[in-house]
Amino acid sequence: MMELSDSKKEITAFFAALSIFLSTIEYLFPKPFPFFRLGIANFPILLGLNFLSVKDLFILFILKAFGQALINGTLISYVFIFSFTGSLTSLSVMILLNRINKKYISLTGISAAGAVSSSIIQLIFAVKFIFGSSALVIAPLLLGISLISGVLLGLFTQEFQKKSEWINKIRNIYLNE
Amino acid sequence: MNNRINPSNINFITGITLIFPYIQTDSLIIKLFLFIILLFLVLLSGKKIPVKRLLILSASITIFQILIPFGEVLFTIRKLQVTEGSLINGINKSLTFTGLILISLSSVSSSLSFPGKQGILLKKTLFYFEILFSSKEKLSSEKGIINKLDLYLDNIFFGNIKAENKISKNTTELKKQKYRLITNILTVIFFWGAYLSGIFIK
Repeated sequence: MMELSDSKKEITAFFAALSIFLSTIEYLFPKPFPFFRLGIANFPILLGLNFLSVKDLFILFILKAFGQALINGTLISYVFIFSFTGSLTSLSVMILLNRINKKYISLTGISAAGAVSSSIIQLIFAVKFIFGSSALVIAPLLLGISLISGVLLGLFTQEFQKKSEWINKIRNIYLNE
Repeated sequence: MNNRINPSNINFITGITLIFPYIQTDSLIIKLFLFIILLFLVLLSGKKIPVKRLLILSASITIFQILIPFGEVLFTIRKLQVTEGSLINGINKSLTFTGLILISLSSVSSSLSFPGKQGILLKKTLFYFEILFSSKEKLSSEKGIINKLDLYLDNIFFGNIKAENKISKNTTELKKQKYRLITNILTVIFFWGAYLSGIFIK
């Protein structure tokens, strides 16, 4: 059994590792479109949203972003900047919605908002810096896919949170430190 | 003061520098060569190669990629058309994924050390990533994906100390490797050479 004094660090590290692992799994899925993403690497972030501190959520995000870029080989490319900015926006939106209005917005709603906000930022970047206004052609499809994947991931995470004994144990250890 | 660099850190840095050229190498033949080198690196680090697991993973990844056809049709299995593009893509992805497992196995160990609080966090993240990546933990026979995942994560997270001991034993063997540093340098040169030659030949 791990020592309690290390538990916050231990849990944040485990969530980050799980996130990087899931992004590796996502890499294997065949993509019908190049910009298509399932977003399963956000599962640990959604799980931690209710009990991890804001600081730990950002640490988790940074570890995830760099690990993901390293695994996908995009660390030294503009894709990384796109992805990093999109994920940072998504995380900020999710934290805000979760902290401000936890009672009225479900995890599914938060997940969907996070996914769509990430895509919007990425679209703005694409229009401003790389492709110009022609990038807007893919906007409806990109936003539609983001919304669907965000809702699906949110529904799964919500269900997992309800049934999982593991997450309850983790939450108790984290909050009792 | 002891200025010797931790051998585990050297292996870790080597692993990190291998990821990019390995993933970015397009040629299947070259990637296969690099994959064989990675097998040797795992053996050098004193760990076992999970042969059965790698084979099952490779087969399932390749089959999965075949489901989205593109390119010339090579042959047909019942109604499924196996195309050249999807087959090459499948083999490439399976080599990439299993290669990453080998890089992780050869370069991450519990005796890694980084300075500061964030260093400890990074060390722990890498440690758990290696456990998740190379875990032999099987999904339980519980009904439903949520129950299976719940038990799986519980076993991995709360069983980490057991796994850490196992890795520590292996890294003791690793330290005994006299020529590991030279091997690491040669491997990095070879991997980057293979990747860069691929770019210039294009």
